[in-house]
Amino acid sequence: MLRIENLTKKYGDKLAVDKLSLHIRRGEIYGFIGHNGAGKTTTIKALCGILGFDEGEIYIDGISIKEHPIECKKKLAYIPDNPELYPYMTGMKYLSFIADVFGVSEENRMGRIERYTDAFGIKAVLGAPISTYSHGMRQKLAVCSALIHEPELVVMDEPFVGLDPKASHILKALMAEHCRRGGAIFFSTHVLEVAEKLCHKVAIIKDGVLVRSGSMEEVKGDDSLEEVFLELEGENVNNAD
Amino acid sequence: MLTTLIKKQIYEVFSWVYRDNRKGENRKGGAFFGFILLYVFLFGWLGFIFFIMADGMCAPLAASGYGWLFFAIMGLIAMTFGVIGSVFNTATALYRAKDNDLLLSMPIKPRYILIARLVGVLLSGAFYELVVMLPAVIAYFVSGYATPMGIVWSLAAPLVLALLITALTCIIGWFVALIMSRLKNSSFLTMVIYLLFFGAYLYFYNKANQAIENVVANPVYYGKGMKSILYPFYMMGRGMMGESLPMLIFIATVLMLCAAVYLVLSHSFIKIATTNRGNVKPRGKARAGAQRSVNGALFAKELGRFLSSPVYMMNSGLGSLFMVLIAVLALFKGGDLIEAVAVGAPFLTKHLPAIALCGLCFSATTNVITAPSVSLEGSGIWIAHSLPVSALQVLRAKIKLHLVFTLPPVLLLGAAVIAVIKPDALTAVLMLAVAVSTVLFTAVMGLALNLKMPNLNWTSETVAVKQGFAVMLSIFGGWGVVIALSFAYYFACQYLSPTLFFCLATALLLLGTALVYGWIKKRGTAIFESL
Repeated sequence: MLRIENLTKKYGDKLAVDKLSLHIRRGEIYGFIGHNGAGKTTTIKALCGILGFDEGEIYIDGISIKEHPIECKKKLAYIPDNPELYPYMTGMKYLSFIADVFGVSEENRMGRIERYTDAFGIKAVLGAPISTYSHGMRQKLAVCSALIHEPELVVMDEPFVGLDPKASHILKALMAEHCRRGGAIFFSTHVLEVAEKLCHKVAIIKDGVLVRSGSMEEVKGDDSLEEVFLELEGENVNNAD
Repeated sequence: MLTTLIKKQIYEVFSWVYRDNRKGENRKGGAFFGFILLYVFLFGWLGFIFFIMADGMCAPLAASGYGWLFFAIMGLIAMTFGVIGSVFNTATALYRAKDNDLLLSMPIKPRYILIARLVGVLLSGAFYELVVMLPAVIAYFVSGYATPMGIVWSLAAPLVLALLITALTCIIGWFVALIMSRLKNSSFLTMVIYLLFFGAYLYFYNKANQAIENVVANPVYYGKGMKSILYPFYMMGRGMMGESLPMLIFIATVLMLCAAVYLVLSHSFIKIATTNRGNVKPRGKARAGAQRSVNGALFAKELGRFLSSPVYMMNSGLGSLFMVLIAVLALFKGGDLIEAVAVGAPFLTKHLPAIALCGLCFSATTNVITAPSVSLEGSGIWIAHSLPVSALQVLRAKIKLHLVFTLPPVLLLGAAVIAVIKPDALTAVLMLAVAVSTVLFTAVMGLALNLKMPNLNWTSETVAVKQGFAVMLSIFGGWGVVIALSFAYYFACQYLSPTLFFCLATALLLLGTALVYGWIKKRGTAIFESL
């Protein structure tokens, strides 16, 4: 579903991501872990076609994002860590706008809007301008808008930040359901317990370099994911010392 | 702490000068000084116009012992200019700035936040006021009537006047913010309030122009009126002519007003800044609209953005309203004007289509809807980047919005003008062709300028709409095109018939449109994708 090959991205002289390669199959939930500034958001933005990159290739369902960005974007949905939505639209207008752009028919959109907004508890405020929404409500609306066109790949940057426990629980259930239906999910997180419980595979990035990836068992062995992560971070500290 | 906040406010107010938001870095060397020079030129030109006005009044009034009346009139104009120029963004920048919550959450005394904001309002008002008052003071210096104390007080008075403008702007802006914070859907009312302010400004401006001519002829009568109605300006005028006591009384009055305004604001700042920020109230069952095409959805998004923002509508689309009003006025009063020209200046009769077209094109260039449209994407630009649409589709929607709001009133005004001056059919068609071409050119040019000079990091949309360099260049560039074509006609009319000139002008404008649009397709889309 998603293949990243030798992705390299520089900001001036600074190497943000260095020859990163990943492969995510249909039905997989793939966690992406790393410290702040490790290159997670850069990678995510690159694979969503938001950010250009210097070297490498990214394929969504076999299509190059460099050569056919629009075709790729039709297959994916992106939820940023801080979803700044259009404040002048109401929640319903925003969802309708996304549905229009992705060509969701009128028959399908109402059912999906009802289902997702009801699940996240924002159905009653869909008529209010987004400018009046809290961060959590905007996050929920962003998730609803991502699912409304039934993407094959969902890419999320810290999706659980700002969500209340109930919404987090619902999102996890929706993620699992999405993968059961043959979709794939790639998301970054700092919450290692969530990654450990939810993900089929995980990748750890440090200073732009992929230091470990694979199935959860391959990555953590008998240890906890937190122990593995801290051990890798510790190597960094020891090297610095 | 206060110094830090003031620095931050000044940085925000003037960030468009030294910050290149597209590159995300500060301007350096030549680019920075180029910006400064251009603005010095633009405001220098405005100041020159006011100097001409001041120079015509100062010496005659000073000679008749009414020098104070000169300063009172110029002060009044400067105050109006300053208040109207800055009141539109005061409500937004002072009370509804995006970082109010952030700053209020920090261990900062609210009054410090307020004072820092007030400094921003003061600078904004002073910026406009000085365009009038500096030329007035210079006219006084060169008039031969300046006294030593007059020089001292006439240098101090503009600063005091800036404080007066700040106080008045805050009072008006306070009411605007208070009303807005209590309204559910405030766009329409805000627009009406803005229009009322603007209408009042135009009314007084027109009256002032007429009054200036009469004042020089009859200073005794008007001096008496000024003294009885606007006594503080009488005191300021006397002070600027060298009398210290009246100036001290004026300064004390202004300081008292400022103190009163500050006291009121400091007691209500938190209330206004945090009103209507609580829970979202359910609004009944929201319904999804009918399904649109991708381009239709993008256009609806641009339309929603435009109609939801009074600041955007007022500053970028007000020309549409004026064109409709002028069209109605032309139908009722245009005949009289034509007759007057036929009697008073018969040699102009054959040039009426060109003169009318000049006015028509000038009106058309007052709309600059595309000029801030990229900047207004702000922090939500990731949405456009992540959607399966091309950058060109997004940019076309912005151009379409400009055309939808500008072409109909231009055609309406064109039809009204044609109905009044009754040119032959070919000339009439060509007049409309030139006007439409001008609209097309300004639409793509505004967009191209904003792509070259975007500002996505605003905390108040007023910054994107009013203080963008692209917006200013679009306005003056549009006028420049009309002026250039007018000069070209003036020099070419001996050799070319109006119809041939209109054909050439249309071709030139369409060629310019095609070239700029070609740039947008190739370079502009790449820039948009990289933002």
